[in-house]
Amino acid sequence: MLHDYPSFNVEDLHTVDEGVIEHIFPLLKHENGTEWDFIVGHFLGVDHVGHRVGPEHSEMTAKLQQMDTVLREIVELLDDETLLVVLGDHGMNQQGDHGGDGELETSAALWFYSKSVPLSTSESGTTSPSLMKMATYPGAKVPHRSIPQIDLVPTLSLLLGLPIPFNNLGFVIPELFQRDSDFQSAMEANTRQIKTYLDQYRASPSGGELDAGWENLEERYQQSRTLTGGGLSRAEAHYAFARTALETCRQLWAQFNMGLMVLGVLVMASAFAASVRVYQELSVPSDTWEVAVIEPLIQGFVAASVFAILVSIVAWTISSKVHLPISLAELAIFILSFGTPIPLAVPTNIRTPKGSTLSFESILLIVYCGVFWSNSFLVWEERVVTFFLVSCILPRVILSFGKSTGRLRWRLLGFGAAFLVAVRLMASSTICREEQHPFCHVTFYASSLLPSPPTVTLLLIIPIALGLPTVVRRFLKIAAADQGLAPFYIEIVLRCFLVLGSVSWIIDWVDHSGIAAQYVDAQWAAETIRVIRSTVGRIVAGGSIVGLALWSTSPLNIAVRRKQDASGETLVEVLGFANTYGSFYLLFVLFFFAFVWLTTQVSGQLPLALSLIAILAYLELIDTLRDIRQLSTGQHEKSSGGPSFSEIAPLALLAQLAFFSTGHQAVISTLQWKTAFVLTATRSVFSPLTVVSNTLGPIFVVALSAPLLGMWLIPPLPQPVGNNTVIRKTLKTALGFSIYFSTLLLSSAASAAWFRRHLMVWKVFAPRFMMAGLSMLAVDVGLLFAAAGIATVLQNVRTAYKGVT
Amino acid sequence: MYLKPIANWARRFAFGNLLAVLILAWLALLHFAGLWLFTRGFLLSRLALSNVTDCEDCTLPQTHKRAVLLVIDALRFDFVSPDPPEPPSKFHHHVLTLPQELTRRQPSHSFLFDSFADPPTTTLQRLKGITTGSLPTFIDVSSNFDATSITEDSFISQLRRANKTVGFPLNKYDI
Repeated sequence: MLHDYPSFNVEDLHTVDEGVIEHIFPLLKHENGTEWDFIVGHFLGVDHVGHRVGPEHSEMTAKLQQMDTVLREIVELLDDETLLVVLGDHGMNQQGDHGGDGELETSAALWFYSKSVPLSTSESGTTSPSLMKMATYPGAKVPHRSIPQIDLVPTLSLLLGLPIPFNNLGFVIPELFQRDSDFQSAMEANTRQIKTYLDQYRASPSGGELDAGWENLEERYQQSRTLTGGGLSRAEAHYAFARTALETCRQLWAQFNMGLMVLGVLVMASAFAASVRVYQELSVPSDTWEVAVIEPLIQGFVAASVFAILVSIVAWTISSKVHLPISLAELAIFILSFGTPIPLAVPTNIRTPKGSTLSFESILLIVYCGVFWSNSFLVWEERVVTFFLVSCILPRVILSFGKSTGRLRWRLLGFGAAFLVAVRLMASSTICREEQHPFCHVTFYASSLLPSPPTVTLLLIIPIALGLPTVVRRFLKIAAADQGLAPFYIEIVLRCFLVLGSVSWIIDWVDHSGIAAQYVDAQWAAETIRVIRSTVGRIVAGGSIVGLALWSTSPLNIAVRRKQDASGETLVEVLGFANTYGSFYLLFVLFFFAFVWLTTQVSGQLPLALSLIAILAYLELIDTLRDIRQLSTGQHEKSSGGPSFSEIAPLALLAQLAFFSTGHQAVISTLQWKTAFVLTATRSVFSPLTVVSNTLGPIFVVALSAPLLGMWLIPPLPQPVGNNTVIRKTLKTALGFSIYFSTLLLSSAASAAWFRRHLMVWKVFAPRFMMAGLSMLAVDVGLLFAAAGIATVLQNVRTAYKGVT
Repeated sequence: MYLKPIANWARRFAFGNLLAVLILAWLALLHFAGLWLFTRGFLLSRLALSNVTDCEDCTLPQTHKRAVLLVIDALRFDFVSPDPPEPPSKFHHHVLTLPQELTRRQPSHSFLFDSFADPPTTTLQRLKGITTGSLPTFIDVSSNFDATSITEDSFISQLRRANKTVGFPLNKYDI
């Protein structure tokens, strides 16, 4: 593992604290008549020395000496009315690092000092020793008073005469309240605050989390309210309630549940194995896959359901006596979801496809999984993806160049270049995550500080929105498949939607740049602009839905032309025949594309346009490569097993690149919240939809397009062979695409679980796991939509070619 | 074989694509179940309530008018402990001695504790705990879906509510 701390300026160990020192003394001396009630100072030096050279170093001695001197001077300057609190926010391990749950990392100093007012006046021993927990520091001979760090919060609040913060779970430190009846009142205020908090939390939508421990908490609280607290002293009862609350909440919110994590990974793994098996069955060029898949599926469903019911009954009966580590619902869901794929995942007769050596793309996928185990690689993931994508395509184009001739060679070069250029341009758009600085230049926004589009994209976007439909139609023209309503849908509807989608964001830019306010009344301008923008958004969103409905009843993109040959016989020619399936399905994709376009900011629309071009170029490129292979081997591949994993994998990589290039990173801070207001001026039910569409839309669109690979240039005749081939090949492509993402999901989940105590877990591994989980779901939903779209295409093809042989 | 009729029957729906739809839906459910189980064990989360303690009689008379709170980043307990591990390190034990000195001299004025910081022990998470008294989680789920930073009640906000002046002499929050 490589650890780098780019945000640390650890070079300068001695002056790092001088800013605080320089500013704190004038405040303490009340120079220039400065008045204050509270000063917070944060010294970073000890931490920096720790990270740089560790605690066993003379630098650390020097640093601690400096701190000692500073504290002595501060104590000197303290007046009688000021309380001094010095604390470490955490400790450090033997290497000087921190972040995890090691004993040395969780141990921090906490020191209270009151110069003249004594905090404890009564005789010692008034507080029960059971409230004064002692602990022995590792290696020490003598135990010392030990408290949870958050006990500082109620203690400090009450000493300063302030109410205790609402969410506090700490308990007042007894030693500091040994004055007459103060401790009793302090505890009462404290437990009342904790109870109010728990009550409020329980009334919240997440309140169910507390159900399991609620009775116990209630009972403890009642004990602290009554004079005879169940055999405990009042103080002990207060203490017991507060600590039970803290422990209950820790269990709920601050502890990983390794068992559930393992179960989750097992479910993902069994789903993965099952999809690999179905994928293999689909690679056999016949109709046997349905029968081969149905039997184990039924077995799995029946067996898992029966087993889940039995286990649930047993678990339910013993749950009153034995405390189960997981809930009944979790147990039942685990058995069902882990069990159903088992008969598929454990095949009786494994059919190993011919030449089942690992392809280059599969090896790249394994390497990609390795990336999840190193934070230094993971923060540069977008570059890894670009590199992999180019590595998949470039060698194939070069190797096939020699074998190709004439028109095929031109096609190879043209589509290969189009794909690579599109990918390269997409990769140049980035938002840069924090860890990439200073080696990354933000191109998504005008600058890293100004979240508005760069001027050049504002100038380019309308021409691009106007031109993209022409490019799409040009691709359909290759197989003459731009007949029927295709020109109307692409040239008019799509063009309108794209232009409106860009205009929506230009309006937003005008609104925020304050240009309009220079010429007209600002208030009026803002309101009018807002109404226009919402209307534009709703036209596109509503239009896409209406468009989809119209599309499903539209004729295919083919035209029948009759002509007479030399002998006077009438010939029937079907224009667009070769790409009947692909060209029609593409229209389906374009409606979703238009909506995602609307929810993508101007600087994201550019890479989005490029991704569409890349997909189309890729489909043609794969077809060209197949033709070239067919020429050199003489085998007819079109009736083969369908797209190979090597052909599907680059599309999955393209989906990842589309995510990164549209201004996203695997960190929560790159969520583009301003997309919540595309359809409405204020937050509404549509806001989550548009933010999700912005974040996952790029992946969704590529997933939706992936099955094109299984139907591009597939002849529709004879029927029903044509339809059955498309069903098999599109499902195979869909599963291959899904397998790619579930492999990444498995690896990222495992790495997040493994590194759960790593310093970088919340900055790097956990957000990447979340991205993997969400993109998996986006892919699943995208592929389901695709299956529905394909059904419509199949129906239209069956009707159109009815009776034709 | 009973399977052939089932396959033929399935082909009559969704124009032959029914089995494909079912398989993809089934996989989606499996992925969802796996993610649900995993995240319940992994993504520590709680709802951050934005309530503020607002009451007249829920505190004590103050003992001090003012306070100085100094965070020394990564100040481990043994660095200031009067009884550090044996044998003590010459580099960091008994170096910062003021706290133990004053505790010995003025036991009713000076109090030194070994405090347990809830993991993850990263500065930002800890500062939040030290000011709010709450536990660290990965996501503080907010009831406002677009609020990227959530403000919970803390003694800093209580100070402000009481119209007290808070001074931050150059605070630079790193990692």
